[in-house]
Amino acid sequence: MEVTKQSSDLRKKENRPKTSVLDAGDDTSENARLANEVQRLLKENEQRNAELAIISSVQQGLASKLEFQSIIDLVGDQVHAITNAKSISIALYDKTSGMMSWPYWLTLGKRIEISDRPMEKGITRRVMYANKPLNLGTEEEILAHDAIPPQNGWTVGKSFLGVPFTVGNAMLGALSLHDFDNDHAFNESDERLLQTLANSMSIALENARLFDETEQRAAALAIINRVQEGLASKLDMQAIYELVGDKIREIFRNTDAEIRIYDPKSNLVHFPYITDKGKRIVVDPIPLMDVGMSSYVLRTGKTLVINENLMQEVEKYGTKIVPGGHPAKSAVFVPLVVNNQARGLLVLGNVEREHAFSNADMRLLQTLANSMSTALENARLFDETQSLLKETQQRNAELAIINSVQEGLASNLDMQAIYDLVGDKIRDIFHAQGAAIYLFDHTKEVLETPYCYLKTRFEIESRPFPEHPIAKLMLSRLQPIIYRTVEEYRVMGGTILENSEEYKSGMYVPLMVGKEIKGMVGIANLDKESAYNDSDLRLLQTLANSMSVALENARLFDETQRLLKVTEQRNAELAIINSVQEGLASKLDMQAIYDLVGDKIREIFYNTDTEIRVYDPQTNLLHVPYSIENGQRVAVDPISLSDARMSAHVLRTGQTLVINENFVQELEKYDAKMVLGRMYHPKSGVFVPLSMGNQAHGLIILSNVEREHAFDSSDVRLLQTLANSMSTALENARLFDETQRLLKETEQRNVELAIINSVQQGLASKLDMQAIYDLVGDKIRDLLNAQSVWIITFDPATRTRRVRYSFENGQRYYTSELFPYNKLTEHLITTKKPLVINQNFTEAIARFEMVNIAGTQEQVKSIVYIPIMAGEDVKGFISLPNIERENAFSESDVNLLSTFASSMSIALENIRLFDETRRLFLEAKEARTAAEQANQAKSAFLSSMSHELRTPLNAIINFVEMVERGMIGPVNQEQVEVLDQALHSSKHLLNLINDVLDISKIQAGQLTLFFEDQVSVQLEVEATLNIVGGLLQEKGLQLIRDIDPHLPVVSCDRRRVRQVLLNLISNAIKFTHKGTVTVSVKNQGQELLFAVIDTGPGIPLDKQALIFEPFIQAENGERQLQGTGLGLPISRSLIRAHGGELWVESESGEGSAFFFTLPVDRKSLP
Amino acid sequence: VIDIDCLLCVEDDSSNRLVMKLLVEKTLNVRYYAIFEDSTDFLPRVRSLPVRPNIILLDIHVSPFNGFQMLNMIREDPVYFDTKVVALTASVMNEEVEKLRKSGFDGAIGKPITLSTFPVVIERIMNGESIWQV
Repeated sequence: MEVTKQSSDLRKKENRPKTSVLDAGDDTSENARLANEVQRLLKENEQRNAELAIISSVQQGLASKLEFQSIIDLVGDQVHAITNAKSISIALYDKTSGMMSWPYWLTLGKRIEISDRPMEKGITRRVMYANKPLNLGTEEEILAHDAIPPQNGWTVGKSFLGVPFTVGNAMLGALSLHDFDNDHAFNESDERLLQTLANSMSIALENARLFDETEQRAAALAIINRVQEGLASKLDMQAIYELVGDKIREIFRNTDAEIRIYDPKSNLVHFPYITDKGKRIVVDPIPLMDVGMSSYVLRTGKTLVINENLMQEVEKYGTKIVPGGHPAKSAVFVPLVVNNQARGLLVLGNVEREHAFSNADMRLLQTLANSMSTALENARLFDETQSLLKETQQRNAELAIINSVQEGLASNLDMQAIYDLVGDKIRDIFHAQGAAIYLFDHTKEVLETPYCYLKTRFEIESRPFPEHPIAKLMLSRLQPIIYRTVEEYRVMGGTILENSEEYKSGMYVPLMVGKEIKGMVGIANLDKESAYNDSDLRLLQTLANSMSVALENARLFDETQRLLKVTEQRNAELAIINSVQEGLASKLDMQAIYDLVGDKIREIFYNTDTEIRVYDPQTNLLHVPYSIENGQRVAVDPISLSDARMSAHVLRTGQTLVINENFVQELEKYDAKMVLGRMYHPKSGVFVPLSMGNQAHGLIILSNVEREHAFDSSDVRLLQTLANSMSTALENARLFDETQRLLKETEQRNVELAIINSVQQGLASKLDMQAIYDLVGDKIRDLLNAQSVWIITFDPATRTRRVRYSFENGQRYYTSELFPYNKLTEHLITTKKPLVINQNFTEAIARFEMVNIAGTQEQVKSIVYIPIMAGEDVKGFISLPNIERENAFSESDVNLLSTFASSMSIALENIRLFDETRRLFLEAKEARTAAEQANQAKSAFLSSMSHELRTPLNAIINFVEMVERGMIGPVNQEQVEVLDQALHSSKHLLNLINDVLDISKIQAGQLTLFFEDQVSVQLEVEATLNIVGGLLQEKGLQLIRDIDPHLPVVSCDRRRVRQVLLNLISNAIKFTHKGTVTVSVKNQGQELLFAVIDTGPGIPLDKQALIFEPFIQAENGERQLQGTGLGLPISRSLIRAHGGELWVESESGEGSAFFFTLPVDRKSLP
Repeated sequence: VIDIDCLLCVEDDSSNRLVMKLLVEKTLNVRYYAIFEDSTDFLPRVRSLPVRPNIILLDIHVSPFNGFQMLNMIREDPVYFDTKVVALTASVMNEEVEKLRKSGFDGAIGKPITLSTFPVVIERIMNGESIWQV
């Protein structure tokens, strides 16, 4: 090994004293001994001197060193220089941490870093516990003394010398030497020297520690003192941060410092103090991350020191943030611990060098951190205490305000009293010379100032919002306003009261109720600037809030009280108004209304004299319809207006006048004499005008002779209401007549309408003509209260009059007697106008040659004749005689009666037309019914006949056929031929019956089809062809089928369609003698087109229409017999009933083609 | 030609009764048949037949019970649940045929009866078809 090969200077040196020691023991002669002794002493002295020199130089060195590491380095290096030992180590033991550290370890000329470790075992521990030098000469000895064998092939050495030393009372240490080459390498003198050096070092270290401690303590004390000072001068937390930060920077030069404070609520790290390259900077709070140095320190509460490889170290903690924002070389992170909880940290960074922070620095920082933590905690507690104190004060103040308001309320103070109370309280609390409460009246846009105090109370009138700039500001902001200087106040546009000092500072807060601003509270301080801080503002706002709630309650209470009063008064007024209305309803006259209102007033106002005066402009007199004097109703003569100055004044101005004091003097102002309370002098009085529109036409006067202030504002209001009610009542009375008149007109119109309605109703209920006469007659009687009513009609043919309605003297008269026309009749027919005879009826009787009908004509005093008109014709008249008085009929009566007459004549005409129409309608209906019945009878008869005819035909046809077929017995050929003819004729008869039945059904409109769905046309055609097949063969005709292979199924009456096909095909066969018969069916989408074409004689064009007429055959000779002539008309009807059409195309000699169409889907036909 | 155990006919016209007799005897294969000349005691008489009828031909215009009434009597007796009832009618109008259909007849044969098709129609009705040959 390299170590063992090396020759060590230490060994030579170590040998040297050892040899001398050995020499000293080799004493042979005295001289020699003495010489030796002298030599020895000399040597000893020399050695001592050498030792002393070393010690002295070390001590000199130590004296200039105050740092631990420098002292240790110095001692270590000196020991190395003296002994040239191969391995030198200085160990220190920290009692508090229980850790060993090796600030100095030199082996083979190289410094070695040894990590700290707990002092559990090892040779150093032995040395310290032995508390004396330990000199071991062999490897076995060394190992026996608990030496820890070094790794990597190192040995514990062959010799060991260790000396203990103490540092202060707390630290133990040891200085150790190893020799790797020789046993027993160290002698006594080495022990001594080493011990001396160790002791010197320990003293130096102790001094350094003491110095350090003193320094530290001084620094800490300084900081603590400053902090305490700061606290004493009420510095806030920031001030403490500043203080500590600055102090740290003062102690640690070239170092950036940070104070980081963690707020767990927001999870933010704040930087109240931070420097970058020695300059203060501002850094915004950042969220605390899970990783990073701050997070680590805060979480663990441990101090972190990074003296080397800072960047890499920092990265281990997952962060790249370095102190000061610049790459530092060394850094320290010290937690600020309060109540075992890290609340923040102190960070120091040195950008210049590594190992910038020693243990001592750490201790100082720790102390500073602790001091600061304590200081901060104290500051926080102080703050908290202060704020609690303030809160308590604030709460007390609030309670005081609330109590004031409550007390105010309880003692029924009005709002003003509450404002005063609150205003005074606020002034007290804030020691403000000025205070004001403002209220915003949003409807009027004015500012009320119910409380204003500036050294004394001020009364301030309402003013519009804009006249108060602060109010304007408040309305727009709705936020508290604070000003700290008069300049600030001026900037806001603030003004000061006249003759007032400048406001040095002050604040305003809004009075809010819900979201609405009701007003504001302001205080002003005349003594000092910045008198109020944010917390004062908060207090004032709190007070304002409390007050606004209380005031709102008070206001509501007030309002409720007021409304209650209003309601009561309204009720009283309503009672009076009701009385007046009742009076009106019972048709009292004007005087009654005066009495009513007057009495009511007396009822309400005791001990009061009352007068009602009404002005007559025509006579210029005041009438006094109601007067109470001294509790007695008295009659008062009209007064000239010129004698009643007060009344004249009230009438002229239309204004109410109240005199509650100095009544007599007040009267004199109006140049008025005493007119009221003629026997006593009133002390109070009220004059209320009676007005209609803008015009006063009278007045009510009340006077109280007993006391002044007898009439309060609510009394006045009530009187005004009464006056108004009375005016209205009087006006109503005036209007009553008018209304009556209008009512009559309306009634009349109603009567007319009633008549017309009755007549219309009569019509609707199909009354006959006489019923209409009765109706109208009765109506006239009812509605006009007529004594007599006549309705007469004329018959121009016989020139006679008929009495339709006669009512006289409460009795109906009936007569069928006809009266000839007379002059009156002619007159009415000619003039077509009503005739009114209001006087001298006797003369009229003679003039118009009237006949006395009911024997009462002599008594008639007035009479009216109203012609009943139908177009231009006079059909009769309505007559109303009156036996009581002349001039009984006014123009309006005549108009009304004319309306009746014309209504009636229209109704009568309508009835006549209705009757006529009904008659015609019934006749037509009867005729139609008869026709229908006849048709049905015919149809039923034919149907019955068909049935009756078929029964015997069944027997005939079947018997003949059975015989013909030989089913009954053998028949010969001749018999068969005859029987065949009989059968043929029978079947013809059957066809005839069928056709006749069909045609009669068709003509009676009783043809009914029975539709089947999904009918195959193809099958029907084939079935038909089967039937006629024999006939075709018989005549030798060729049948051509031209049937579309893809025919749809159709909806039709299958039997009827087959009947048509059979008719057409058998016709074709029948009339064709040679050639072909073609049957074709084509699909045309919505319908099928059928054609039956023959090569027969054809039908001339002019005959083609006839073949579809029943019972007609074309007379071509060829077309004859065999058919009933009904086939084609029946077929066409059947096809048309299906919604199709059937027609023929033919020319004479060219054959015939019969076509028909059949809809695929069923058509709904009318 | 289908075998029929028993056939009943009600026909009030004597000539037509003869026609029916001949038709049944000459064109059908019937073991036992009866022809009533009116409908007096219709149901008791049907019940007193020695054999339960397989098919009944009813003239409609018969008294005292008409064809419809007789049909109802048969239909209300469960003994005749599978007996075919056919109307014999001289009324061939559509309305009348429709009335027969709705009343529950199994078919109808119009008068005059067509000799050539009569047995075919009877056989088809016996086989469950509903035939309205009028």
